Amino acid sequence: MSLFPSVVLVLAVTVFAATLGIAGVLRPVLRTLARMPPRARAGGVLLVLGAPWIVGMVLTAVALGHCWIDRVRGLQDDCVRCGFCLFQSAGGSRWGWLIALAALSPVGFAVTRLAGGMLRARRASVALRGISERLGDNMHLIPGRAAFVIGWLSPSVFIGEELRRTLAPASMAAITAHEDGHRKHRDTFARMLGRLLSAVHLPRAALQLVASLDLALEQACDELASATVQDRLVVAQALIDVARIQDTQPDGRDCQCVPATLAARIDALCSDAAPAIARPRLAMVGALFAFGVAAGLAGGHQLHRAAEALVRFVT
Amino acid sequence: MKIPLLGELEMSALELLWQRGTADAKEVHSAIGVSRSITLSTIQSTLERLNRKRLLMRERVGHAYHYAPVLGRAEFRAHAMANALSDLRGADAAGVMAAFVDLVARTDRTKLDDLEKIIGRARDKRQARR
Repeated sequence: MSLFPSVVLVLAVTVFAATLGIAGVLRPVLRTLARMPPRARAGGVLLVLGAPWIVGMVLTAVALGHCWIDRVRGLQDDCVRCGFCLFQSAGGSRWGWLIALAALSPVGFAVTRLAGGMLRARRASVALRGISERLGDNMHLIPGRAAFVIGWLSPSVFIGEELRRTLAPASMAAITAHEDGHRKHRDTFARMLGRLLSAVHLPRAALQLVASLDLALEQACDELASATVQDRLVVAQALIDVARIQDTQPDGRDCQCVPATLAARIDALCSDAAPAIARPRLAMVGALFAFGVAAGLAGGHQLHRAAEALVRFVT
Repeated sequence: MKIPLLGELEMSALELLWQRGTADAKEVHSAIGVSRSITLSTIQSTLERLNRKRLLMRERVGHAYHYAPVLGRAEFRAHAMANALSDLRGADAAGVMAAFVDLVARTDRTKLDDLEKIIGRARDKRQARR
């Protein structure tokens, strides 16, 4: 088995193990994250979404790194046949490649879906710019009753004419500040990254983490809008007003639902309680770094042997 | 009606024809081509392209074609917006778009009333504090 599928296999197993671990502790993790300010929470959720990759890469690097240590120490061990060793790659194996491809398939699927979304976003953005009236720096007025930001590298804000016509100037200022916040912070990129990273998580955990990320990003921009109009309740009222305008369908149908994010955002805007934890990202990065060092020092050799055993078992 | 993606020059030509109702290539060139340092043949091919895309109709008057828009400005924008909506849904699913209020989700009006009551109570609480 050649080096590439071996590395992918070890990476896939460690990523999967980390995914299971995260799914096990997801509830307390989400509870802790919920106590953070929105912008920091979004960073925290992204870190949790990326944690399986970080853990997997650290463990794979530690397992591979042992090849170097053994070589420096002059130890040529018995990993000649398994092909996992950096210096003693054995011949290729069809099974290895098949397993590596299967392990990569969820990521491939997510990348394909993302590429499709990016393409559609680009097409929509070009089409909407063609019919828009320019309001300012990357901000456009379009027909309709929606307000949104679209694009990932250089996002554009689009505001519906109907909103501008019907809403109070304070509400419009809140909406504009909210969407401009998304644009300036490139939140669409964070949303895309979150969906990409969620590809390796268990479905239920992925849904919860992506929903939590979306809510955190929306609430972060609600806070920005509140600071701009200097009234949190104006932002809350703007949310209700836009939901009412968007829901006025020609067929007059009504549904028995309210988007969970809308209720959570209004609750947060109406409450004065400030989130408790201020600097979570630093703590999380520190914890991951400590984990990597500890894994390297304490279990490097065992990890290397376990990786060899895994590769042998598969081949 | 499917509205194809249009370039900046095509949009300018359409805008001009919406204002004037009808014009030939020379008139369009003097209005939007000269300031851009674009030749008459570029304007002619732009108008022909718009005609092929079924956005302009043309009628031969003497030696020249006179062009007129097929759709009015409002109709065109409504069709383009409807076309863009399906792309927006795809972009939203991939996370490349963030709306102020979810574009796809429908909302129960009585629940919106309940949420508005929460805002009202918060406003009352604030006024009581002052």
